[in-house]
Amino acid sequence: MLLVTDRALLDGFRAGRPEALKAVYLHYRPRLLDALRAGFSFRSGEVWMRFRGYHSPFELEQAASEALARALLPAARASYDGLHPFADYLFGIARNLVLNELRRNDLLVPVGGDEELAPAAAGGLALAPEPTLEEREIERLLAAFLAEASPVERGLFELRFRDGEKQDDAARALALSRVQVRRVEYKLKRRLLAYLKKHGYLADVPRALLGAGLRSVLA
Amino acid sequence: MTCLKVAPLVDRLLVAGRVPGWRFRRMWRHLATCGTCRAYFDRAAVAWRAMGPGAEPPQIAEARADEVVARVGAPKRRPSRWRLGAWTVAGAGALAALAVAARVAWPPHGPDRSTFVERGTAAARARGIRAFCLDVARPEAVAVRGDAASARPDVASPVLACRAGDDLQLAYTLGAGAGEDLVVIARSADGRRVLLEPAPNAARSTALRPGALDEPLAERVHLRALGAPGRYTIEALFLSAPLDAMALDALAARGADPGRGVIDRQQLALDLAP
Ligand SMILES: [Zn+2]
Repeated sequence: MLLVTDRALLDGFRAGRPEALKAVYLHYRPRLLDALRAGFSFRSGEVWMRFRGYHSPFELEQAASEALARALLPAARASYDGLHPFADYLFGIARNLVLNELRRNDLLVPVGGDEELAPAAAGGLALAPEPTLEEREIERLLAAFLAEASPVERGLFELRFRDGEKQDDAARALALSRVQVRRVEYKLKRRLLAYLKKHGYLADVPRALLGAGLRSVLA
Repeated sequence: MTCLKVAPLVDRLLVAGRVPGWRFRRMWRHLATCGTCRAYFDRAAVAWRAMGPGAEPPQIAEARADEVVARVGAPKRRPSRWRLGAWTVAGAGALAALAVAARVAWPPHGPDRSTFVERGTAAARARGIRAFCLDVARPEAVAVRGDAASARPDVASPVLACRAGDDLQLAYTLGAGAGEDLVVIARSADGRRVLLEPAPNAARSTALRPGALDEPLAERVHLRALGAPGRYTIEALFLSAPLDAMALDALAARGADPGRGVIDRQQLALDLAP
C-alpha cells in the first residue's frame, strides 16, 4: 500500500525522481518475486492453464526486474491512478509480460509426446510452490548444519536470517556488540558454504568447473 | 569475466553480502549468458533463500534497482526486449502452444482457479557446453589455457582462443529434469564439418545426465586434427530423444538437420592460432 498511503512518494514516483523509483522498486520487489515464483492461472480459450512459476533464482530476478522496469516507465507511471494498490497494477504487468514472452519466444518448441501436451488435471489452489527436491535437500542440510552450530549461532540464524532482524536489534537480543554479530554472521555463512560443498550440494568451484575428467588430467 | 572467476565471486557475494559494484555488474552479465555459472548461482541462491529472508545479499536488490532506475530514467530508451534468459525454458513449448489463444484479462478476475496444470512449464533449465583448451606441451603438467561456455545463436558467440598444439576438451551442463541427448558439431569458416561428437560410427547421440555440471564428454581432440589455423564454430544440439546411428550418420555425411527433436541450439567460436 506504499504508494496509496505515501503521497509524497507518489508525487516523486509520478515525476520520475530516481530515489522515489528506487524506493518503489525495493518495496515491491519481494512480493513480486513471491508471485512470480508461485506462478498463476490463466484462461486459454475455454480451459484454465497454469504458469508454474520460476524455479531459477536468476530467471526469477530477471523477470521481476523487467516487470518493475515496465511499471516504472513514464507511460506506466502516468497510467497508475494512485488509488488502487500498486501491487495489483504491477502484478498485472508482470503477468502479461510472462505470457507474452512465453507466447512469442520462438525458441519454445513442443517437447515430448502428445501425452505431455495434454493438460493434466489438478485440483485446488497452488498459491505456494511445492518445494522442489533441491529445496528439500537444502532444508535437510541446513537442519544438520544448525544442529552442530553453537547456541549463539543458532540464535543469530533465527534473528538475522529467518526473521530478517537488523544487526543492531539482533545484537541487543543476543547481548552482543554489533561488531560481534557481524563477525559471527560472516563466519557462519562462510562455514555453511563450506558445509554445502563438503556435502556435495554445491560443487567445489573452480575444480568442478574444470569437470571431473579435466581434474584427473590436471591431477 | 571468465567462468573461473564467477563462482568465487558468487561465494563472496553470499558470504559478505556484497562485492565491488563493477564486479557485480560483470558477474550478472556473465550469468545471463553462461549456463554453468548460472547453475552454480541458482543452487547457491536456493540455499541462501532457504535460510530465510534476511540472508539474501542486499546488493542483488540494490544493484538491480539501480540498473532499472537508470534505464527507465534515461530518455528514449525502452527496456530491452526481455528474453527468458539465454537458456531454454525446458518444456515451456507446451505452454506456448496452448497459450497462443490466451487472453489475459486485467484486472484479474476472481479467485486463482487452477483447474489445469501444465506440465513442465517455466522450469528454466541450465544447459550448455563448455570448451577447454588444454596446453599439452608438457604431458606431466597439462594446463588449461582457456575456456568458453556456449551461448544461444542470438547473442554474440563467446570465443575460445587456442593454439594448434592444444587439445580440446568439451564438457556439458544440464539442470535437473528429464534426460536429454547431445550432439556437438564443429565447422570450419567455410562450413566444412570437422568434428562430430559422438563420432559418426557411435550407436547413438551422447546421453546426458540431468544435474551434471561441466561433465566432460568422452573424447579429447587434438586441435591439429581439426585443420588449419583460423576461426571454427562449435555447435551443440540438445535433443529431446536420442539420435540413432543412422541419423548420426546422416548428420555426419550430409549435415542433415535432426529437425524437431532439437530443444536447444548453442554455439561458441574457436580461434585456432598456429
Ligand atoms: Zn561461466
